Amino acid sequence: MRKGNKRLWAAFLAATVVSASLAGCGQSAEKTDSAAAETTAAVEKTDSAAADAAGEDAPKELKTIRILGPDNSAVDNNGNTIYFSDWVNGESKKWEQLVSDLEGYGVKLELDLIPADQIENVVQTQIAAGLDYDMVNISTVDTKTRMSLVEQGKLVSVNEIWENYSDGTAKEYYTTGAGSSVAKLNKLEDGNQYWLTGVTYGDYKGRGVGSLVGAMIRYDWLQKLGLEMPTTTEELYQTLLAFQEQDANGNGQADEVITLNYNSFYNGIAQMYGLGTSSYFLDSETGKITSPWYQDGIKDYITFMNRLFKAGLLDTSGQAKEKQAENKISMVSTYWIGYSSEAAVTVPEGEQRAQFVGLVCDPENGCTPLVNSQSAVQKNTYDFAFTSNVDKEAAGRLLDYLTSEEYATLTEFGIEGYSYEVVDGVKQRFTDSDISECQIRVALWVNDCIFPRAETVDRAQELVTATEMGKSMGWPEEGFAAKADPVREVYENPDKYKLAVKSTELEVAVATVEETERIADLKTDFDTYSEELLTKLIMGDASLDNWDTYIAEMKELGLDELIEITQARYDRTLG
Amino acid sequence: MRQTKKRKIREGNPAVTVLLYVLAGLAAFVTLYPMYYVLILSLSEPEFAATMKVYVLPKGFNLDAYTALVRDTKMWRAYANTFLYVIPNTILMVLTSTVVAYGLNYKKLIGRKWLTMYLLIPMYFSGGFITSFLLILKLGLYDNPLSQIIPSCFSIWNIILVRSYFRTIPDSLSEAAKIDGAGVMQVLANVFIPLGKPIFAVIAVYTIVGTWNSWFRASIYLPHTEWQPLQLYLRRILVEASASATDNLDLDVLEQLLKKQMSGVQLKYAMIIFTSLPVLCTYPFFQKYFVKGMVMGSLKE
Repeated sequence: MRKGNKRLWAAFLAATVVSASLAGCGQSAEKTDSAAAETTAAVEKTDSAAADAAGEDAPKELKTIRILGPDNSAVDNNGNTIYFSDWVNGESKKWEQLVSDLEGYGVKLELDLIPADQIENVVQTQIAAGLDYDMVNISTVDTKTRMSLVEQGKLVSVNEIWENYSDGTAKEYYTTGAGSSVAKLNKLEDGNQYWLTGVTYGDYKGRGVGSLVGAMIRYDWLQKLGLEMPTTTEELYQTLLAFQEQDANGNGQADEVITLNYNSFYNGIAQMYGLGTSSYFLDSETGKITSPWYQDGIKDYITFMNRLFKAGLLDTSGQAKEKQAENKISMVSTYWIGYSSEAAVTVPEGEQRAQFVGLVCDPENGCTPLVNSQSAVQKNTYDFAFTSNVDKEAAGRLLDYLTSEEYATLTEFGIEGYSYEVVDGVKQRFTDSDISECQIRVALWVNDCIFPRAETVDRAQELVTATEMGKSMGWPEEGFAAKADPVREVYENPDKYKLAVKSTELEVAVATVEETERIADLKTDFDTYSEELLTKLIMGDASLDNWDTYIAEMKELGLDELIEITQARYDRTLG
Repeated sequence: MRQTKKRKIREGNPAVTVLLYVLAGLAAFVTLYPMYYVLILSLSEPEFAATMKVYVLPKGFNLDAYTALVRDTKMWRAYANTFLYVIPNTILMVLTSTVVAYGLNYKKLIGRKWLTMYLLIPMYFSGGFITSFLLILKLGLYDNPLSQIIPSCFSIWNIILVRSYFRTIPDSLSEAAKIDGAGVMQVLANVFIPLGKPIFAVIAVYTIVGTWNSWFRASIYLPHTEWQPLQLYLRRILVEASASATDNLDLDVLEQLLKKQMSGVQLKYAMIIFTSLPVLCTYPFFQKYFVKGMVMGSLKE
């Protein structure tokens, strides 16, 4: 071999060996440097906290719980994305506080945080490999797999834990307290509950109320053009038309449109015609599951939407996000008290900033309009389970902490004097804090992360906060008072408004294995048909004259059976 | 006369030439414009980038997204990881392809046909993803950066490609080397390797581009961010930017999702440019090998 070639080969081989070994050796480094560092940070802090506390009460023996969950993230006021792992790695006093609190309960944590976009794959592969953790975020696991894990004994019943290993806090919370109604929803056929779900309780002056969702109109455009807030659907149509004709956004084009889910019933306008929020839904008044397809207002609703479509008032381009940024959206459907829709609108310099305000309009057919609302005690959408590896005593201690007042306060408000203060007995977050973690409203360990949320929302305070928020979003004088008004109106007059259940799926018990299989057999085809039909009818591609045929086809696709199954699930929550 | 006329039409007709140039120009435009579009979006002021109403030149000039990227230590780590996978993968791929192809090209090799068959079957009928996953798990490569190197350091297709190329090298050359006293390894080192440089370049380019662009294997085998490659990091930003606000999101979650999408609106464009840059720079230098590679792929025995 020539000398040059030899050198070349030697260099190649050396580079290969070095690169491969760098990567390979990294495995051990990884365990200590990164993922494990995220987790051991917590442990180290726990240990030091334990040492600090040693002089006071005799601490309980620390028991470790290993948790697998997504690395939740949030954006602070400077636009930086902050990950929960950043907090765990030392950037959060709130997390330090939680670790210290847990130490008091005799629990230390080891976390395995997976990027949110990979968590589904990782949980599934971990399930296949035998679940090596004590607690897992199972939000991405389908009901059938959950049932299978229960049958295999891989998940332990949480009610057994709070019955036998709680100091009473968790037991009270889940049996008679705020968590009881949600715990009931999670009960399986064997009478046990195998996963924990967060709870949001809304309190308005001592009465339970849920957050409102629905159609919201551009209040700033109404003011600009001197228009009144519409109170009937006919007035709503004329107002939306006026936005176009009088060029509300001032760009010289008649391009002001509304963006709504027109292929479903979850859009606010359907509720104005008294329709439920999904293709089969719980009627909260009667306790019956039914379908908007069977309701009286359906044809009038479709006719109204068709009218909007023909007049070019309904956006069907799929470019709603871009149009919102371009200041072309006159109406949206979202949370009435949220303010992200405004932030997404760019108005020309010198113009009044956007403000969306919720509205309920009476339909021309005499139906009673509904207001789409969460339940007063709302089940969250994230579930967490203890596996058979868990030390049940440690799980009991953890449950006691997760259902305690101190956990709820730390999660929702943080630390007194650091992220919130108490004014007249009411906890108020510092809204102008320079500290990144204080700018993030809710602690990152809840929602889609490692722990369930136990949230109590003071709805009256929420209205004040939203109004104040408006002052920094282009409404320096009155803030978002106009946004808060219709919400307050509904909260103050519960007898005047009929509410629609926001999500029926969150109000009914877990499906049994047979129900799960039947739903899987029917739902996809039925939903596709329902969505396509609604779209065609609204766009005028299908005629209302063939109504009986459509209903017959939906029955054939299993509408009645889906209603029946959901009714049975709802009845179980009552039983 | 008629034949000459025909040739003239084929080779020099100005109308046809113009048409071909127009078609080539169109093809180039269709290929290049999406990348250019992403570039001008990444450089425009955020309000214009959000509306996507930028078509020819950047509207305004804003480098904030690039500044944010440069300061992003996680992105640099992912960048370094990608290089850490590209280098050994390329070297090992060339090495394994050469050694195995040389062996298969050796006419006196016992059972050569069977060995070739043994290699060809899994090339056409792969065992599927589940078996690969179980194998990686059993080998202890799950959550290990070697999972990005070991399964990617050989390719039967590349072996066949190199073997086909080696077959074009005249036997007389290796026979002459043997007469001069060269052994099997010396023939490889002094005859096949020097003459096989073009095919090695082709394999190297394919491997570099393939490894640079790959993310799926990492998304399955690497659950933690520390050793994840750049493309997975890019995917994460794109997924977050396009996540849909479904009906049942809680208020806080919905607000956060919208906030994330607004803050990341320009970041994704800058990220696409940033991640594509090294490979874009590589293409002009390796273009001729790409062409050669395509021709080689079409060779039939």
